[in-house]
Amino acid sequence: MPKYDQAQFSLDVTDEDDIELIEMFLEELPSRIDSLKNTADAGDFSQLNRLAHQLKGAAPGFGFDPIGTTAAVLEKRLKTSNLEMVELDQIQSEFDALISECQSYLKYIDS
Amino acid sequence: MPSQDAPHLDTSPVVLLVDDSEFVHRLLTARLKSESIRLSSAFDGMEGFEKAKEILPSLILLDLDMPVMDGFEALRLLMEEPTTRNIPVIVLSGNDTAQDKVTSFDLGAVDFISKPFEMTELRARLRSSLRISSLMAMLEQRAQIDGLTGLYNRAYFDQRWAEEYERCVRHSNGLSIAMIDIDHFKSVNDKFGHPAGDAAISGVAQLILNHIRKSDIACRYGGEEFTLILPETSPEQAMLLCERIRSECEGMHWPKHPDRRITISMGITGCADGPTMQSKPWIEHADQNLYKAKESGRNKIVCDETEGKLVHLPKAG
Repeated sequence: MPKYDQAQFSLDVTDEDDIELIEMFLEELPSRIDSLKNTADAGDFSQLNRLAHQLKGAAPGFGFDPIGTTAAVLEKRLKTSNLEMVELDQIQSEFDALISECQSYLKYIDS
Repeated sequence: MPSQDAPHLDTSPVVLLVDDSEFVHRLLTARLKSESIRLSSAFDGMEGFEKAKEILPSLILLDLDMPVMDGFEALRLLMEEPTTRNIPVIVLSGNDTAQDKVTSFDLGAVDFISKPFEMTELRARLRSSLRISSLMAMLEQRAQIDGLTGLYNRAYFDQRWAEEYERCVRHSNGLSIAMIDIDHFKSVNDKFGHPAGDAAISGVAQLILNHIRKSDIACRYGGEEFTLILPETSPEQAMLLCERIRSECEGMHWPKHPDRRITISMGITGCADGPTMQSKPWIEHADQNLYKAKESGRNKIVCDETEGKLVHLPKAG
């Protein structure tokens, strides 16, 4: 019985190399979530845009397609806004979707 | 003699990855493990450009969206810099827009890969660009090498002499140049035919290669004439080196023509601590010394300093 639910990952959860990448990403996931939250709280939307952009590009490679997809939605939303003028509540639903997607993987981290 | 414990020299191509995301570095490090490449890292455009100049990689993977200096600006710098201009660059981008692709190709990128990566595709594109890179390197080298002798050609000599001259001026160190010509070459050609003439030229070239040091540059200047650029070498040292070549040539046995001796004449001009002559007159001066060596009976060396003072071999014993 594999440790990871294949339905949640876009890499092969029975392959040793793939698992190594999955775990590499999982290891940093809590601090990623923290910095997303802190950046949003601080109202630094250009930094938030950068974080979303990075997740969009990187998450799928590590097997986390759904995080990549929700990050892309947030990035797109930010891109159509003026980053100087944007308020958190305007992007709240896209932001929450990304955070909850990230959090859905926290159960795989041994506490 | 090759030793058993000689360190294994890794000749696999170096690929420089320039991307601000630590994730991308990790991902590609893991996913390119099976490719025979060595991956080097930089995290913004400026660092990437500096590192490219330093390590001269075979291929550069360049992200567009980076802090400090973005990918387009880095690409522009890479294409302006003579030493990095011919290194193929693959642009990596999370923005899959036609405009970014067009700009990348117009600036000189060889390929464009969208993020997130399709790994099998990325590996195939990487291999394809590395093939281009090795062909470029081969072309560049071929363009510098003389076909008959394997020495550097005249075009390379001109460029390298200018560089070594500048270095000599800047650091006020030694530099010598030797012009070498095969004696009575026309009669070799006339008596034994052109194949024998070619054999003489390549034989002398090989002899020169056997005697020079790693830092010396041997070129075929034209016809039966050669030049040696000897960096950090005073005219006295150049004289000693050239005398070994001259005397060995004189004694050399030519298998197809056992009775025939081939000799060479040489003209050397050099300085011990910075030149007192411009680069072009310097070569002409060495050429005049070669002429004097021919005039005074051939199989001789005439050597002087850029100040004009003649240099003689130390007396044996």
